[in-house]
Amino acid sequence: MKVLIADDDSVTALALAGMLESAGHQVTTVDNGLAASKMIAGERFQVVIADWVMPEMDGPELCRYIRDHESDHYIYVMLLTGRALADDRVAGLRAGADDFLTKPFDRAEIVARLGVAERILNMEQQLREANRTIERTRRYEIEIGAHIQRALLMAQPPLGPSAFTFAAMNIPSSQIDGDFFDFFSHEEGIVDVFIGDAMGKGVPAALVAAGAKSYLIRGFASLLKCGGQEDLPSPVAIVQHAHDGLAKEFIAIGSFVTLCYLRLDATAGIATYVDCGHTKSIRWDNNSQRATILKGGNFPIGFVDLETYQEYTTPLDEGDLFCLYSDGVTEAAAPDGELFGIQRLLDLIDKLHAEEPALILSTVREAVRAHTTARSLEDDFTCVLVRVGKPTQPWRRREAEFPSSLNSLANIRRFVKSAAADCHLDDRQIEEMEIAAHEATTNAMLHGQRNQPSDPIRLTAERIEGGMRLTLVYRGVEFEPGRVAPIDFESPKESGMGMFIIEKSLTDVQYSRTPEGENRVTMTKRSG
Amino acid sequence: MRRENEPPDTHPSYDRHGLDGVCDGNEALRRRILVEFVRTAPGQVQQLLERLTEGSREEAQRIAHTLKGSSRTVGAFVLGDLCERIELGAGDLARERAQIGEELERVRREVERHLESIP
Repeated sequence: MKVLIADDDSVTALALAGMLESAGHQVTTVDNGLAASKMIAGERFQVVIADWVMPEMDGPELCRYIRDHESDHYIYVMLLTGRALADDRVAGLRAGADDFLTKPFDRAEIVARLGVAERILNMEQQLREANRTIERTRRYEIEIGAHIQRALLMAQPPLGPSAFTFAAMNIPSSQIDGDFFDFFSHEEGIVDVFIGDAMGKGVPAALVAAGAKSYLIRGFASLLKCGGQEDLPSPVAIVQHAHDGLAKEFIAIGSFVTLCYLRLDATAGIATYVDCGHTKSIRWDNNSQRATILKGGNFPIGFVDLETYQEYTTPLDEGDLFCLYSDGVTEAAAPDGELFGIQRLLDLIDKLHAEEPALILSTVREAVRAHTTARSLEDDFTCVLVRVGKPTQPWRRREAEFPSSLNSLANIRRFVKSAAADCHLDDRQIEEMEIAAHEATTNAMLHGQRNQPSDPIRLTAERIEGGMRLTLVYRGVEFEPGRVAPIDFESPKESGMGMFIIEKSLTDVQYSRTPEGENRVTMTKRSG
Repeated sequence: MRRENEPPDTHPSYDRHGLDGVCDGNEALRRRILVEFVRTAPGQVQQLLERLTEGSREEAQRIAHTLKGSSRTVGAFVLGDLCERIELGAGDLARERAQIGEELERVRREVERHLESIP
């Protein structure tokens, strides 16, 4: 071994060097601690033997210097002392010494102690090698994970003319996370966007995320096959399909995936979303000129076995902006631990909503970077922005589903109003169509379904010659208009009032029931 | 190494076998160490006495510590003990100051005599 002796007593140093050289070690001597510290900086010594008392820098100081200065190898330090007191030894050990040599020397003891040093240094070297191997493997896995993330988990926004403008960004952290997102572009004016995050970090998280994304895509494809091209599978059906296929596997490996699945239907003026414990997505409402949070109450995918997912709807208008993001945005921490938080994101969207999504996204990214002041991210930064524009093709048929709840009435009226306006009905006719739809859907919820939201209300708007046809479809108690008594304005009872309002508001209304047990109310309104 | 039939060293100032454990039969090493001692010890004693005269207590203690180590390494235990008493301030400093020069001289003579016998 290469041994450095630091002792101002040249006789002792010579004696020690002679002993060690005769035992096969390569020895260098210096006469003070400062000279030793300089020597160590330039040469690779495995063992340093330092006298306790020396000028310039004593033995314990030299120990501390060695321990405070990182080296690519461990330096075994032995303090040379006539002191045998326990307190001195404790002080030496605290300074970083590994062993002590007590004067006068015993050759056999010194050689044996150097043998111990060699054994420990060998073990330390093996440990470093093992750590290097682990680090190489980890880096390789990160590269693979990063590749998986780039190739499989992220996606390019749809290209070509569209009712939407997109911007998407993923900046991987130093560790791979399980962030993912994708887009399904349907007919003109309809797009699905989803963003997710698998629990944990590293390649396992990336693989879980890849599995979840794959199930969402497979679910969409298989449900579409069942329903036919005309009938897009609902977001909740797609999410439920993924959960049902993955829950047991995820629970078995102790993982889960948070997700927000959003369908934007610019033709129907409806956004439908399923939130599965993901960071809350944001909608900039161009009508009210304020940002709102899209709230949902589902568990993440695979968090519990038997989860029944719910979807929610919110109106959609030209100029609206939707922001889906990962926790790497809002949970980015400043040096003092303060998180970036959702309020800062809301404020930025509030301030920049009129800008191009790409510009908003890069501004958000810079704000997060400035907040953290860090060079690399703790978490992946993933963010998707979608601006709603005007559909480039006129629609012929619009369809939307609403939970069977009186809370849906505002959205239903909005859907009807938007569709009626596109069918060139005048303001009065639009209002009458809204009133009729309001009455019909209220009756369906309160009487047909007894306000049971498990079966949704489905509305289909169609352009017809000179007006609009609105079909309400719901499951529940059969409605038989012939059994409803004619309205009696003299009676305090309200029986028949709903039917009366509907008939008076429309050009035509038809009630029917399919063999499958679906009730249909077909409402027609013509201009003129 | 002390030979079996050799009588114990009668002079208390210097033990010729003091370096046996270090040198393990390496007489060249023994010679180098003793030569180094003879070369450096007188200067250290000189410095020690000067620092004591100046009243530089701390520096005197450091020199006494160093000389103590080299003395005991070569087997000059009386000189080593004297240095220790000066280092610790445990004895009669005036007497130790007076003795240290004489003791060094005794050791030096013995060491030089010993050196003549080393091949």
